[in-house]
Amino acid sequence: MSGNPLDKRYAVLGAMLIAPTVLVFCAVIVYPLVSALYLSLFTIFTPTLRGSFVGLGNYAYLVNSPEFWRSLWNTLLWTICTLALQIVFGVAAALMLHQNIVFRSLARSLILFPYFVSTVVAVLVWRWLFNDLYGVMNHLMLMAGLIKMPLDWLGSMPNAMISIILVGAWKYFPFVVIAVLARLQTIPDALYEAAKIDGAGAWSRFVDITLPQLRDVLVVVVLLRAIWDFKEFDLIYLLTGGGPIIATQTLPLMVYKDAFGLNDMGRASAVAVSMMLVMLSFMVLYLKLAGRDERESQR
Amino acid sequence: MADVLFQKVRKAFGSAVAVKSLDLAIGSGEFVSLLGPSGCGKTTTLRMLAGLEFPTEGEIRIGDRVVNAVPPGQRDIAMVFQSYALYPHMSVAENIAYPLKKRGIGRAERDAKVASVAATLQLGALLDRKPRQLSGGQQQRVALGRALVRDPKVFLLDEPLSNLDAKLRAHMRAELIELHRKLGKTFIYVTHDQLEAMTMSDRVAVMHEGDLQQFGAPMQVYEKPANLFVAGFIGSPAMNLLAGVLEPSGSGLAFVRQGLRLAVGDGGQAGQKVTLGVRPEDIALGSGPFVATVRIVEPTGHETIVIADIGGQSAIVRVQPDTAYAVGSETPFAVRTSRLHAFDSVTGARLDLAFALPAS
Ligand SMILES: Nc1ncnc2c1ncn2[C@@H]1O[C@H](COP(=O)(O)OP(=O)(O)OP(=O)(O)O)[C@@H](O)[C@H]1O
Ligand SMILES: [Mg+2]
Repeated sequence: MSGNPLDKRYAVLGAMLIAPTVLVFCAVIVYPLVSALYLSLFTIFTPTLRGSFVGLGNYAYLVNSPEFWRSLWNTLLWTICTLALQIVFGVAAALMLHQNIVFRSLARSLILFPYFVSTVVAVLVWRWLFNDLYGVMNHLMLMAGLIKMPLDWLGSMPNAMISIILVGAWKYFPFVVIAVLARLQTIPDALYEAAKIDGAGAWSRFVDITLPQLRDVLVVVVLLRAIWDFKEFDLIYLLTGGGPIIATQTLPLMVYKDAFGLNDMGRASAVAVSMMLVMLSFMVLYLKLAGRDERESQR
Repeated sequence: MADVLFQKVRKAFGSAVAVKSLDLAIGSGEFVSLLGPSGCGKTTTLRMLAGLEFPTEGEIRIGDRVVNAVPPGQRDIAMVFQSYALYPHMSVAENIAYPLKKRGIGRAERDAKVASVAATLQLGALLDRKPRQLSGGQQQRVALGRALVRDPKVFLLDEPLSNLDAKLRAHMRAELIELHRKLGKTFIYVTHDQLEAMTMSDRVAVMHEGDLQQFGAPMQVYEKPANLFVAGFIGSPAMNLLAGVLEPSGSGLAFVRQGLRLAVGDGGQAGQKVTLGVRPEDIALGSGPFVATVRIVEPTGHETIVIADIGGQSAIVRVQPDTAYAVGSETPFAVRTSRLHAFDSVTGARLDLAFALPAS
């Protein structure tokens, strides 16, 4: 086998073809990763990038820091809640758009709107809607008699957390819509017709046919959206800046604050590395669970 | 008693008319095939009966119930789809049990029925598999099982064998006939394969462009085709259709065309344009009053197909394989006058004419 000159030539060719990918991968993924790990072992003054080796000192500090645990909790809360809303509304909207409704193509492009708008613009609009003095939200709710006093949507708890979760769901559910809609269109009609003849009502058809068929795409969508929501920075930073105090501060905001507010690049790197570890362990767990179900359903 | 009744049923998709005005009465326990070329409205007819399409006009009855507004699940029918439409994420057992489950039948009874259906269809060893782990023939049987398990009044089958290879198709054909005999239920079977329709059915409904052309027993459709379309469609190789005209001859009439002249008993009018239908097996080469030129000889083993020129038109002739015909040679031939068909060339309708060879 290995003595065959043709095999050797193919092996060399293979290596050459992979090489660019490997180089780019090293440059943009491995290097930053390793350097983050490295930096997290120092205390570094951000403006000068000078500092001294402290070993695992930064990590020891984090373990004992209530702020770190609070930020981690905030991150998990935000990710889980906003992701759940995205999935529920995304699937519901996809099902609706899949029906033969009038203006379907128009509705399809409209629903993608939040996903296309730049986060800065979206957040400015929402801040204006949420404003406690002249915001439309308060105005409408006062008129409807739902509240007696204007609410402070972004500056008090739990309103601030609820607000970022809702805006996050609004901004990112179109992604779920696109992915689910694409899958819906490939489910053969004959399956639904067979189920109708077998006596399944609309709800049964959804549970017995649509959901199982959507399974694979939902596994991927949940994975991607969970990663992206976990790392979300701009939306939260622009809406609440992590406030009031640190009530909506997530880990990415803490990294930013440590690195550029408190000028401690080392500790910021330690937070970033911890963030990665948390995410990694959740992903491994999730893929294991999803994979096990998949194997079971294939048996 | 009619089990299934179509009364003046019409189905249009927008401006496209799939079924024009269908009247069809199918008896209880009958095996009926809907046969016709692609696009003639067979599937549409079946889907209207299943409740997956709604007739634009007319009435459909199953038993003594008008089902126009009855949802598919309550029509007491089961359907086998061309694509089988097995639920991909369910095992074979779950697939077969699904219609029972949706009718609220308990676990124990479900399991018992699935086991009995699996035994009938020899699916016992496959019950835990997923559909994608089955061959086409096995999937087909699971689809049948899902229909059988409910014990419905009427079985609907839409080209269930068309995805199978020739050998398996022949085998499943025999199994379906056997199954129908055993169950004694009404089967409605859509196909564009006349061999399937002819071999399996009690009666065949031949359709063309949304119209029912003829409804009768297979041999009746073969031996007394109601019109030119049925004559040309049923039979393989196809019937030879030779256009001619009726002329006065002596005291009676004669059918005349280039290279052919036949005396006509009673019926018909002088000057009427008539198309003569001759099956390939009803032309006898070797002797007779007419002459044909051999164009092509196709031996198939058990018989030989000769394509011959009769008065400027090619005709297909089926002959025994033991006689050799030289391409280009002229050979005398006769036709079996008792087995000839005649059709009005203008309306296409069957004419009852009696033919005789010219006295010579
Ligand atoms: N949903 C539909 N919308 C518009 N036209 C349709 C629809 N379904 C069928 N038709 C038309 O109705 C006619 C009959 O279709 P049908 O499917 O019943 O044919 P078929 O006899 O089953 O043909 P095949 O042997 O190819 O399956 C065709 O001309 C087809 O184009
Ligand atoms: Mg069809």
